[in-house]
Amino acid sequence: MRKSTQVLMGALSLVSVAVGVEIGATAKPSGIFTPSPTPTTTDPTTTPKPTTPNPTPTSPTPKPTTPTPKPTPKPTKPPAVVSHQSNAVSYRFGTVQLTVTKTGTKITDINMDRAGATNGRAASFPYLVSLALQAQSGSFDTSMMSGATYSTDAFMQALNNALGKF
Amino acid sequence: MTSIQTRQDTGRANRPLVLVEPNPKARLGQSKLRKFLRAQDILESLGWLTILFVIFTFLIDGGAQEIKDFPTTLGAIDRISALVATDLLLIQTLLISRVPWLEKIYGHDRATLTHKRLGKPILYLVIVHFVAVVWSYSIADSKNVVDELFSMIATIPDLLFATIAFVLMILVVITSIKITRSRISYEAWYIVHLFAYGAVMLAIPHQINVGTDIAGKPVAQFFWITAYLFVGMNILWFRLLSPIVLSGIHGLKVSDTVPESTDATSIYISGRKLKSFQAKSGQFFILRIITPSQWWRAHPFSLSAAPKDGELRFTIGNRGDDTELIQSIKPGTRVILEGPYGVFTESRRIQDNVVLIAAGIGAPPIRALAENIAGEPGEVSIIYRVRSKSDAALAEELSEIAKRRGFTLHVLEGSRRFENSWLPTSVGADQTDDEKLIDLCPKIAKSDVFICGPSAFTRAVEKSLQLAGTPKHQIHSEEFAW
Repeated sequence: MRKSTQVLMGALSLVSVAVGVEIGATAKPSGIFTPSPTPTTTDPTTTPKPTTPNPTPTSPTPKPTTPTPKPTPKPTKPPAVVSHQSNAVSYRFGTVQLTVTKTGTKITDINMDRAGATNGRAASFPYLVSLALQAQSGSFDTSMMSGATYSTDAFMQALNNALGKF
Repeated sequence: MTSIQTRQDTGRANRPLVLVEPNPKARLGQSKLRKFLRAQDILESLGWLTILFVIFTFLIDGGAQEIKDFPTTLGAIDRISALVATDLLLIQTLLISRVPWLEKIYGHDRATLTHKRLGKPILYLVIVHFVAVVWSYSIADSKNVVDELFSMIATIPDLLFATIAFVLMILVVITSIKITRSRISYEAWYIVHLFAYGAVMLAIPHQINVGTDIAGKPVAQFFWITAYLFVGMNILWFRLLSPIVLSGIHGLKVSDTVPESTDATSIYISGRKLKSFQAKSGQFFILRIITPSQWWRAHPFSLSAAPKDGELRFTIGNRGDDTELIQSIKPGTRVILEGPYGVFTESRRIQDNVVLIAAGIGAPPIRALAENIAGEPGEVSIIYRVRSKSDAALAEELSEIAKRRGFTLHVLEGSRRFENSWLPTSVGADQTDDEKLIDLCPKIAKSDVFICGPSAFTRAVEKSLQLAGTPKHQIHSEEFAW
């Protein structure tokens, strides 16, 4: 390479590294997923989340089985708000633990208590949360979740674990 | 004028010397050089830009911001080293794919040399990637490194392939470094080197499934798929399919073998429409002789005469184990030619004056160039350095060419006059190499110089040329970087 070309390439390299770092600072932690907006449908009356990470299955909520009439035409009283925390699920890239909050039969919130994932894989969790909230169940299509197979598996495991406690 | 002759007799004396007329319109001058250097710069810049691109995509993903503590630092190192290593690996592979456009701009030797030089740095990057990834995972899982490695391999199938790829890469580099390369046979080296293709392919699954830099990122996906396909197609076509297809189409066969001197043999290849190979004097081909025992071995052979439409002639030194083999090839044996390769041709010439310097078995390409170079009488000089007349392959032809074209020929015979000199004792000891060179070729500083010989000889001549004032871009030499 001639001197002039070397200088040009050197300058271009410096500029692009600087620009790259600059853009990286404003970007979301990872570009794996286009981060979808976090669910806004959350009920404002959600219970305070457990702050202590207790790995054992918790059974704290006092009202486990309130008779919830399924086909209630008009809910006169506010439906019960129940939360259950999943077991901690260890997987290849970290540990996942989450708390599912149900208002009546509706899943109204999924909180990631532990969202361990290396190399920006954590970016997949908000996306998975919103998918789960949309699907209102522990099984939904994750085929569009490329690049986070293991994180997705761990998330599904934790979610179903928590749902199983209701 | 065609040169197809029937050859019942293999005696050299019975064969009239048919020469191709040189092309007097060969474009000369500095602008030719500039154009050529620009092409090199563009290619090198493109290569550099691909590396810059992968670093850039890493950075805009917030790669630099992810570094918070020790494990995340390891994570960042693991990603960036993997990205750069993969990019370099593809460049390295492309360099030996023998694509004509690369060959034309760099020459086979420079492309191969760069390929060689990239070997170790790439391996180091892959080692960094490997160590960083296992270490960071072991911290995350709070296991020791060895346990972590085994659990990674056991639980993620793609990592098993990746680890095999890693081991293969180490083997390829180990068998290619100087110390081992000189101790193992060409065949062993060659077979291990083929593992490199396996390594590249085995590493792909984990890049997509386990890595976070490709999957789900459309731009990165596009870049890597394009890069892999581009390199793969070039390799497949230019290294594998095109030589087979073209050799079939042209119906290439050995038509004759002729001993030229005590240490050189010529081999004639005939075929249809050989002009379409667009071979030039000074270039070489890689030849495979299609016999049950030899088809897989490739031999680099230099053209020793300007290519003619019905016939190509190669002359090879009788060294190594191929000697008897070449002499015993029966006329009619099918061959596959890969090439032509090399930029040791008139296309590199920028001056009116030309000096051709050959030593020993470096004579064939010089002989071919002499036939091809256009020049007024007095513009072209040939220096032919031989140990003894019986070793002087093609000397008669060179003197015949010199006579017909009005070129000056100096045959310098004898053993080396002293250590580090490329001249024989017969030239005396009163002058240094460069003084003697100026004596022989007064216009040496304003000449294009083509040197072909053993690498120690070439280095010595280059040094003399430097002292004699010949600019670097007018010095042309090519080694079999093989």
